[in-house]
Amino acid sequence: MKQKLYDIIIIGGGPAGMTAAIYGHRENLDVLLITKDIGGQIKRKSVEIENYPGLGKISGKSLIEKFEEHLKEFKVPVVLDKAVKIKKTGKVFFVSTGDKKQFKGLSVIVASGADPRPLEVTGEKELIGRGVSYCVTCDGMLYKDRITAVVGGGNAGFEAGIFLSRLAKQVYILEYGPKVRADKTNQQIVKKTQKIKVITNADLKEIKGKNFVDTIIYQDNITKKAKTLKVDGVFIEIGSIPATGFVKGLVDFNKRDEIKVNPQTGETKIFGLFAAGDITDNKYKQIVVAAGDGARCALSASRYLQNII
Amino acid sequence: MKVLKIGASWCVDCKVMTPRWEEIEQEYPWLETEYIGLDDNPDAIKKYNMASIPTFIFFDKDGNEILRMSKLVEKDVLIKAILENKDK
Repeated sequence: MKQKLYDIIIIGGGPAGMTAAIYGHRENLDVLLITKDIGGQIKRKSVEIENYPGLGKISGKSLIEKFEEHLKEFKVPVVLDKAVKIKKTGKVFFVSTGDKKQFKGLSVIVASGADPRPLEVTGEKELIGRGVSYCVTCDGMLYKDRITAVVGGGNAGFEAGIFLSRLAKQVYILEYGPKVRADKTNQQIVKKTQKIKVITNADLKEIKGKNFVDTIIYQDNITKKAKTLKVDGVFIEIGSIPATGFVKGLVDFNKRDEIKVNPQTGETKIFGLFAAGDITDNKYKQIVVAAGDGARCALSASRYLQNII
Repeated sequence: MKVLKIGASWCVDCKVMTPRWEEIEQEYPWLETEYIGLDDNPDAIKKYNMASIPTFIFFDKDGNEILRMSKLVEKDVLIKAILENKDK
């Protein structure tokens, strides 16, 4: 059977990818969405979203469901798989996935967002899923009456700590530097929450546990002494890294490993290959900006297709 | 060998894994699986020492845990684990 040739293949199921799919459909194009997960980084939001127009305060999960419902209305086909490679031969792009499938498209929009940044300390990789987590909204519920640590003293770390404090017996927030970086509002909430203890100048060195996490070891950056905390779970909130592995060698990147795009069109240096959302060198990493990026790329892809077909 | 799949309605990654497991269960009809939802069975968190969701626990014929996977696991990886452990 002849393999279907899509007008646009969109990679990524966050706000950029989902909006691109909606706009592509409205342009009457044959759209395929390939995504390893649903909602992208929104699923990791531990506080309510209150800056997406028209929705007031909404949880990350509810916003994802609204995006999904919208996509379903338009019957956009979705493949739940991870894109691992993109190749262009002539005018056709070939997208390969982790489950060894291949899809053909005349244009591609890369909107795969960013993955959590790992700490890269001893024991971290081995204990993922066994007490090490990068998603407090996903796994936090499992730590009721248990002791947890959050690594990262920025807003994400503080919001994770606040989320966990509603369930856990004790929450430690570890910040590498001498001062936390969270905004004043989050700092005030944490200050009032007795269950949360903030530890600054803490350089996490090792996560330990035979089958599951039971201990973390950090170095006090002032005294240079190693300290131990007994914990059941460690949530790592130290930022994210663009999920660009599968487009390496194809497009240009800036020093933060973000894809360089034309800010007016979302075009990359490869004709027919566009990028949207947090994976790009756009300055503002916001849900609404990512959604706008997705729309821009779908419209640009539509113009591109008019010129090549 | 039996695979216990533990998920919940609030788990976004579970939505991704559900159709993946359905495909596997159709392709390998001899495979014994069971689903536990944490919404109705919160005690399972303690019972199975849950640290991540979704979690897939492989048990041998005697009920001993032989393998544990969690989060988004690719279909190929699951099939490999199933075939490697099917006689246990």
